Amino acid sequence: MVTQESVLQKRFSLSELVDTESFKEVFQSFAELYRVGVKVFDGQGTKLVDVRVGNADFCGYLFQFGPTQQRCTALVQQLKSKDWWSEQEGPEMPCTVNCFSGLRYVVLPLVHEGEFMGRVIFGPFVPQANPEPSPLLRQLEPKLEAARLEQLMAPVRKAPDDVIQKVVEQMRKVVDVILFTSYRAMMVSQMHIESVTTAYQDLVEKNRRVEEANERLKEMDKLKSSFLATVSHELRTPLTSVIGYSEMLLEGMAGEMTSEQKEYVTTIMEKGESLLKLITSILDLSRIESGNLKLNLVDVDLYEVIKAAHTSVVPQAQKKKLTLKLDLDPGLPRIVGDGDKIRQILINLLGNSVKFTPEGGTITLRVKNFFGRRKSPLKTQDATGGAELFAIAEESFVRVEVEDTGIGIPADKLTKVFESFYQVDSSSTREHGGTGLGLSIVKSFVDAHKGDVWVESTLGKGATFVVLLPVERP
Amino acid sequence: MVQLNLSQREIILKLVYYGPALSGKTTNLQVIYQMLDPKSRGRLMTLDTADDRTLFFDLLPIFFKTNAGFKVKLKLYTVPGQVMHNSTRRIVLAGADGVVFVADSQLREAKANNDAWKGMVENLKQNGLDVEDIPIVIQFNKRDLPDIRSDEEIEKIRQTGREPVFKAVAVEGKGVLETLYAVLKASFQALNTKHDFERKFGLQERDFLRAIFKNVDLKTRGINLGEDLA
Repeated sequence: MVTQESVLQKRFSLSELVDTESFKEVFQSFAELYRVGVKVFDGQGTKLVDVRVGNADFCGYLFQFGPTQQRCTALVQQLKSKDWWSEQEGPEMPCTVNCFSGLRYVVLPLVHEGEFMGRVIFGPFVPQANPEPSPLLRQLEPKLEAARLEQLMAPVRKAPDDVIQKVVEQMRKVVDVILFTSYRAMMVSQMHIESVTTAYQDLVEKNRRVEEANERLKEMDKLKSSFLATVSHELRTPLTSVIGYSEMLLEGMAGEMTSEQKEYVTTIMEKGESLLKLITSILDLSRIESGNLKLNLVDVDLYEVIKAAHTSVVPQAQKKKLTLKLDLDPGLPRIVGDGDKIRQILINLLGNSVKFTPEGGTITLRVKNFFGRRKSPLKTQDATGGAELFAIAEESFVRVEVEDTGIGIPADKLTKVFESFYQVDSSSTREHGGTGLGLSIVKSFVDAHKGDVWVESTLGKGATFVVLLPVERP
Repeated sequence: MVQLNLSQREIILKLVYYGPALSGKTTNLQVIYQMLDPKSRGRLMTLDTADDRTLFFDLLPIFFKTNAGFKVKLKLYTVPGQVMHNSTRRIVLAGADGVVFVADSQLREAKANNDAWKGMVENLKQNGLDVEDIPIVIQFNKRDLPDIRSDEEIEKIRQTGREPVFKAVAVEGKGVLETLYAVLKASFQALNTKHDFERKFGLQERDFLRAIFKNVDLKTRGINLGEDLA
């Protein structure tokens, strides 16, 4: 969470934005060029620039007498702080302010992004159209001498209003550029600091979380390992005896048995062995479901994995007189994954097809490069409407298909086959055997690889299981 | 988060253009800068690198006074799209009153769009904002390029999603003001519900929108933003 006030919300005053000394120099040169004085105040009324040209003696003379001094002080106060622009619509324009002495000022607001930053007071100058000291002066203070007033006013710059307007406009543009450039520079430097600070805080926080998680995982890993070891030992030890003694009985070590007895003991031994397999599968699954499924990520050579899986199902297939076909792209990429798990995926799918394909059927293992979309979007933790909407990107996959000519799966059961302990028809358990865990393990392993798996089927004609394994880990 | 300065009679709103790299966020702001009345907008500030990629953000201020004498200031920001600038994106997104998500219509950019969207949701969360609470408008930009999402797909997104969806060719100025108008309207309504702008500040939605689009020649540009501006 970003808590400290960002530079984006901060308001800068004029003196924070500009370098005051350089700013003064700019106005100094304006004043020298046009021979008119300039003052600059910031938004709070603090004077930043004060350049006087030509009017010092004239104004000093007026300041010597009470009434004119009062008027002078009042005018200066007004120039400095009055909001001349409150009645204006839109961008604030310069205002002309007449001094009681007959001189004139132009007050220019400094506005940046619609924000009042300060004001420039340009003047005084003598209006060309009326270049005399005001008659009001001598009414206010009869001691003022007319000749002296005229003499002192002479050095003050005379200018027509339109010239002054142009000068002020020029000044406004220059100041505008200075403000914009300063603001921009300020933003760049402040944003540098802010983004580095934020990135640093992120890293600190991430490190802390990684450390915590690491500690927790280590502890859980220990617990899990000891639990699994105990359970597997406790379950398997008696079972090994059951199987072992059955074997000994069958071998006649306790004397000859009748054929009926042999048949019974054979059943005990076979069922014992399938129970052992079941326990092994359940241990696999419990590891997966407790989230402790760890992928041992390495560069996987798919050809090796495919070969190994293929070899291990050949005997079963031959027993049922099934044809096992391989159809591989010659240019399969190496992918980052867990070779053992991928092999298990293939073995389970092939074993499943062998189980449900009647004698004389065909099973095809097809592995191809594929660029396209997933069938079901990858689950993300914070999937909102928008994220779902955008989840239509195409990616590079290795596409594995296991096609058989077996009994097929009804359309309404196509997704259920991946659930644990599910079999399409409970009677098929008796006919085909198995635990109903094979496909659920396939799904877990595919999910762990951030892939996608589904099945397509025509009832009675066969089924095709499709697995997409992403080439790059998403 | 809107900044309300009652003593200075001032309202400051923040809108952020978010999206993947090179989707046209800066272009949107450039078009708005060109089309709006120069009297009601400031300079477009661009903080970019030598190769014209946004480094921190672009900023376009828009300001006007309401009839009731309130100063309204809108700050339109873009975020830098490149992946590495995430912390800057989060800073810029902080306190946003509305977001325009500029998506790239090209098929090959679908993943970049997804990632940017996810990043935005996460960054909003980090800033204490909920994606459900903040007005968001989606713009599918670059409709003039080949190999893009079809109109049907965009229509589907429009119908299934919560967010208003617009199509745009920002380089030609198409769809830019429409998007801006929609996000302004949605943001105003959200803030009005929360802060009662109409009653407290005498600021009507219609006047708000009209002030921003004042003197914009919508007719000759063939843009229809609805009855509010008619």
